[in-house]
Amino acid sequence: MKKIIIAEDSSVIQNLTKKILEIQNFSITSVKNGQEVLEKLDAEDYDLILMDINMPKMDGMECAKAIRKMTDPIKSKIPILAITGNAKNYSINDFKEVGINEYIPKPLNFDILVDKVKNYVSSDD
Amino acid sequence: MLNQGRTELLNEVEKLKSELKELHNKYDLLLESSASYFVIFEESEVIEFSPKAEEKFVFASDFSDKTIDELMPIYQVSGERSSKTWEENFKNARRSKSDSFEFEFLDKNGQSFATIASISKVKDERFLVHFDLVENTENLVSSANAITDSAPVFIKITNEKNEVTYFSKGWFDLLGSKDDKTYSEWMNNIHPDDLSAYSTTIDFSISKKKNFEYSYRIKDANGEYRWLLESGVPRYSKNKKFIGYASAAIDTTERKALEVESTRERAISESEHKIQESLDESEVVAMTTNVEGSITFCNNKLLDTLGLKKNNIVGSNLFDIFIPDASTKINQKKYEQIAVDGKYSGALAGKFFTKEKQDIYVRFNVVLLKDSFNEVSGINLIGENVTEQNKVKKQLEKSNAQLTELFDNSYDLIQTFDHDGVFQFVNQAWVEKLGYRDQLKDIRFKKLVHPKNWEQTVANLDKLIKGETIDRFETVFVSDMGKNIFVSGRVNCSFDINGNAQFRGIFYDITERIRAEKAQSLYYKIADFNIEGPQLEILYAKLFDELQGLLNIKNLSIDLNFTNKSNASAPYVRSEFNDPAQIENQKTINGLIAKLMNGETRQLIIYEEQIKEQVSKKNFKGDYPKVWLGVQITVGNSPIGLLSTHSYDDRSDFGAKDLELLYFIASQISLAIERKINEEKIVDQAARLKAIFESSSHQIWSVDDNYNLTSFNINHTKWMEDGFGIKTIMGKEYAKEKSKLTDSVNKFWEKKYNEAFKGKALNFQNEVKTKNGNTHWSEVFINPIIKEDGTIEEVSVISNDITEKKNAELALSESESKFREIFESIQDIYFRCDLNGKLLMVSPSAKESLGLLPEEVIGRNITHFFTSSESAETILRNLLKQHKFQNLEASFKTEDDEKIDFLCNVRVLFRNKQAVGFEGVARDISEIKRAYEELSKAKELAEKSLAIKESFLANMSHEIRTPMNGIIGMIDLIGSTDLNTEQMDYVKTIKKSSLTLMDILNDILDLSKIEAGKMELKERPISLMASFQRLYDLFSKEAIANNIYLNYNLDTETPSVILLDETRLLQVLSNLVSNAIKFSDGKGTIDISLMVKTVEDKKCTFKVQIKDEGIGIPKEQIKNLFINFNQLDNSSTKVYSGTGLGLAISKELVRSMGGEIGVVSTPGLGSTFWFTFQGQLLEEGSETNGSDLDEPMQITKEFVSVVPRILVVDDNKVNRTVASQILEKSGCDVKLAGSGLEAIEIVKENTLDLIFMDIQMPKMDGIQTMKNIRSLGIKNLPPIVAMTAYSMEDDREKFMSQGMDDYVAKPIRAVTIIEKVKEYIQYDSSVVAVTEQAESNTDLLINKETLDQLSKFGGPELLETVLSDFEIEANELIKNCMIHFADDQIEEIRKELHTLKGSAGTLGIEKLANYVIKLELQLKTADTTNLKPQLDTIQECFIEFKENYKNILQM
Repeated sequence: MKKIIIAEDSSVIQNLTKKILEIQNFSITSVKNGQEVLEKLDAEDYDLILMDINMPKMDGMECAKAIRKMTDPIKSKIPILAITGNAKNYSINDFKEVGINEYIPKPLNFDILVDKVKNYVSSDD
Repeated sequence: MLNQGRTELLNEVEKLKSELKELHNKYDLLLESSASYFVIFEESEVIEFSPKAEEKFVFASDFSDKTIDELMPIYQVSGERSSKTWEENFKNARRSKSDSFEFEFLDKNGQSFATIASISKVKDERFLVHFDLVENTENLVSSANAITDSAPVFIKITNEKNEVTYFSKGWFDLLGSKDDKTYSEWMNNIHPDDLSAYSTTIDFSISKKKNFEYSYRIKDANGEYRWLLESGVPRYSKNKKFIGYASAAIDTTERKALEVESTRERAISESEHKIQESLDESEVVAMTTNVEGSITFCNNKLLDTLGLKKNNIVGSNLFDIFIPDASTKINQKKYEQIAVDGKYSGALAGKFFTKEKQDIYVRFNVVLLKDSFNEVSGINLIGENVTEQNKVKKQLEKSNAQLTELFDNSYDLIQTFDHDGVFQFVNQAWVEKLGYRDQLKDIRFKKLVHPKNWEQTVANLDKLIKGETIDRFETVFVSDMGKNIFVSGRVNCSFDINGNAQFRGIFYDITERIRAEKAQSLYYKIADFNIEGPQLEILYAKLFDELQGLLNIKNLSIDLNFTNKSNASAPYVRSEFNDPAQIENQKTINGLIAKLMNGETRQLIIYEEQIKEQVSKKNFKGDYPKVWLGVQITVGNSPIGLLSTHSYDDRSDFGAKDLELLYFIASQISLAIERKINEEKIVDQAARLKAIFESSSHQIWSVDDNYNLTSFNINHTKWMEDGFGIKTIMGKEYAKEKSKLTDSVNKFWEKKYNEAFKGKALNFQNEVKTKNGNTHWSEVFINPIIKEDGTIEEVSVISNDITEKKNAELALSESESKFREIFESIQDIYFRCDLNGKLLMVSPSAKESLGLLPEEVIGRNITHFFTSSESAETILRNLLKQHKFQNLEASFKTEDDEKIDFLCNVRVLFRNKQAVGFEGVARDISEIKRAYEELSKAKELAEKSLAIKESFLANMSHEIRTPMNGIIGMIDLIGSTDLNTEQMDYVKTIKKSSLTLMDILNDILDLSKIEAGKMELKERPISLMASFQRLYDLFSKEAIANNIYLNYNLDTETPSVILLDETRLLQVLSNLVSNAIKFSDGKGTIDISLMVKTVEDKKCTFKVQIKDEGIGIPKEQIKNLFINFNQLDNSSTKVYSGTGLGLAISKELVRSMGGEIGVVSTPGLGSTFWFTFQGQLLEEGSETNGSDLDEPMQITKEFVSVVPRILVVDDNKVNRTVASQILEKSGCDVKLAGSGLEAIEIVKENTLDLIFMDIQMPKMDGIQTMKNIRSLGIKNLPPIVAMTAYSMEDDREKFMSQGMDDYVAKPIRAVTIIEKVKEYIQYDSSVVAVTEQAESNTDLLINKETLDQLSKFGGPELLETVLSDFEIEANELIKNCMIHFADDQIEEIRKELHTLKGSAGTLGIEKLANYVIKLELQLKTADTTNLKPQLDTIQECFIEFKENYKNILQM
């Protein structure tokens, strides 16, 4: 089963996304901020990260940068999908620059979310 | 055939020779052996026994093979020493021959027997050991031993180092020891007094190799000293090498003791006697003579051998019965001399005659006997019988004779000679070849050998003496005729008994071979010279040098006449003469003989007598050559010269073979000359071609069928380098460089080359782009290079840069065609005349305008067609003076007498500064003229009517505005009273309608202002993002209400701040959006997008599109769209409301913002309205428009802590009431005045915070009243704000300039007026009362669709969980917002809102989301306007959600 981290400070979105993706046969680990993402990633391998940009402690941008700088060649290349209301009006280029592969705008459209996730990680069904 | 036979014969001879050599070696050795015991062995295998030896070693049964080891005892009696001895001697034998040495063998019974043996090499690994038996002895040693051991003398043999190698038995007895030590230590026994003298004597003797005699004392076995008298004779080996002494000592102790009696002489004679006694017992043959040779003693063995009795022989002279052999070279006289000399070296060999007249051959060693005066008193001859050996030798000589016979029949030159060079034998062939028939005995080998070869030959002979072999002995012999004979062969060397070398040589004549080799080498060399291609002179000299090496050539002449000039040239002459006269003669005769060779005679050999016969007539007085050879030198088939040589010495100097050689040389000269000629031709031709090739300005190159360069000139190199960075290199590399060209270029050329390779000559022009991007044109010729056999391996290319020409051509043709196009399509009439006005050219347009064909016009005078107000002459004169004039009006009369007006521009044409004519353009201006006249009429009318309209509109608007003011004000008031829902609804409707009416009124005013050109833009820094959000806010509810999705999208490049009249922009946008909504028919989506088109000079051009999916607009109506009062539907039953002014106003507004407006539409599918506008870019962070909140319908009590005191001045009671009611409801203390005077009174008596002043009042208007109030001089006079229905924006400026502090437009709106109060009164926002939203929100509490989507993914049970999660989270977030608000942490609030926005939006909690979105957006610019009320609203909204979501889920 492919493993996905969801980093999202809103527990609503977090739980919702988690449930929807679990139904899609993914194994989900939820965290609340970027720092926790790094901790999880240090311990284990994952296939994809869904990441909110606006998070306390370490935001999504910083977190993406940190992941891309990891020495483990596999971990540093893990796909990152941003899920964001884009409060700061980042452009696609801003995202690409820190290593975010793609971004899904909030409010979330779960059709899109599921599509994109599958695009990056095919589930084991 | 002959050659083959000869080769076989040679092989045969060679074989024989080698056999002979072996035979020689073998039997030479035999001869030299003194015993008939010998064994020949190869490696260790015995391959031959002599019969005697065979008897000794071999049983009858095993006569076959034995090894040498088997012949030897395992242990030699003398132990290791003997074993070493064998090895040592064997080693020596490998080199030459071993010395005699003592050795034991085992006989066939296994008994060892002693021998004196020597080993010789037969050949290769084959050795002969020959030995003499030492019989009658038990163990030891030499035959001498046998004699000496029993003799009363002590015999001792030493080597050259004076080491004792042999002691006779007596010595051992004397010394009392018999071990090996004795050999090295015997001298210790010599008496100390005598030792040094003895040693000195011995050393001296050794150094001189002389006999010695010395008397000394030596300690015997009993330790007593005994006197010895020792005499020694030096020993020599066969090759006369000193090998030590043999000495005999006698014990003279007794004599010494009997000193008196004993004399030396007696002692000697006694010793003589003793020796003779012992010799009698010995096997050796021995005799003694006196010094004259008279025999005094003969031992038994010799007597037996000779079959004589002692008395028969003693007394007779030695030479009576003994004949010494030739090699001994001794006779009686010489024998006598021995005694005189006191020495004799060598053996004495010779023969006796026996009784039976048989020859007994003997070899004696000579031992001189000396008397007490040390003078020779007699001669002892001790030797051996060698008769048997001589028999063998004889046999051999016989076989030699046979061989000689064989040799004589051989072609080989066989000879033997001794080391003095005396010939002993030469065979028949030798004599025939070399001559010297009768001189053979006198000549020496040296004479035979060519002096040049002598040194080498001697060196070779020396090598042979040293035992080396020379495989091929080559030298040159000179015949008695002085002819050189080159020979090659083998020479053997052997030694006679005296050790003199004997040489046997077998040679064969290789002169012919050498000549052939030399000739061949000459051919090669000459061919080489030719290949090197030197100057002819050098070639000739080399030819001569080489010929000299081969022939006895002294004269050579090369004459050439190939240039066909009368004088034949002689480029090369060599002569043996130095005397010019002789040389002249030689030339003459040479020339004469040469003439004998006519054209047909290619080569000629001619001898003296023939020459004399042929040329005698010519009166020649000089010498005639003995022989003359000449060969023609030809080029092609024609003779061009002659190569000749001749000899004055010997007619046999040259022969037919030499002619062949000359012929070859001549042919080589021919080749060289021919090549020279060709080379010159080629050099000429090449130089000519090269000059053409390189001097040309053209590029020239050629390629082979791999497209590789095979030649190219400098121009091409330069072109490729400069143009493409390609290095032109011959051959393959060029292909690599091709990658620097594009594929298409390479393909192009390959195609062209291929065509040429098919034999086609190509000529084309080619456009080339160089690496710098310059375009070049070249004219290219590609020609196949067709070889004689018709094949094409290369093509040549000539390319000439014609860029300039081509560009000129292109430019010309372009300008020509341009001109032609203009000329032919010109609407005006172009004409050209000569100076008289005769038309030379006219454009085809003449037909259209005038109905005249050019040919009808050309040739006629221009005045025939055109008339002008001025006379033709005047025009022409002015024209020539001014060179041109413009806008000359002229008219043309048609056939129907109709006048067509033309406007003409004419100028004079110059050729070489001479006026040659004039040309001009005439334009038909009849239509323009007519239109112009009509236009001016219309303009007058329009101007008049516009003025009327403007004033009408201005008046009308004011008139309408005043009552509207009342209506709207009252509606606001009604709205603030307690009304039930229904009433409130009505009031809202009325308000909406009156606002609409005001909008229409404003539109009309705007339009009139625009038309009057009075519209001015009020530009302020604004945020387009906020503007569009505002637009969205304005219409989203309406859209939703109409079931329309409204979206807007801003270009990411949109600047954050821009200088713009937002009001006008929104006016246009609102107009278009409301239209879109209006015409969407309650369905579809409206997309609003803003794009940044250009940014230039801080000016930004935007494009806005509003796309709907509505009813669309038919094409034919589009053009009417933007015209005043024009709604598309003009029917009386209008479906769509509106003034129809919107688009016209929008158009004007857009234009005033520097843009355009337009529409694209498909009826039924929708329309896209677009417009562009310009805005000034500003620094970021400029203060911008905030978002204005929707006007709340209800007036709230804004002022609580402070009560503003306000005076409202208006003559209209309704207005006064409206204003006062609004203000009072908001918490103000309001005073009212109905006129200016009244107002002044109130101001005087009351302290006020603000005065609202109507302008239009009877008696004293607002301005006057204001001025009067100001003149009162009241301290802290409150601000006076004008209120007027003159609501044109520019009124504001007018009032302000007159002294008003501010301005509000009528009709008064509650919001506006309250805001105004807030502006001037110290206002504390913390006391703001809760604002209630008057209008119900049309947003959905929860969007069911979003929920459906979620449940699709997660199932319905997910919804409840998620929503309850949201409830918890949102509750938290909103609580945080409130906390942050209290702490004034605006950014923190925004963050909370951001999270809330995401969750709410995702879950479709739209109403809440929308409020949150709006507030977050506002907070982004840190705009905190109405923050708290909005937060409250959000909280309410959340509570609403909380109360309802569970119910909604049930639905």
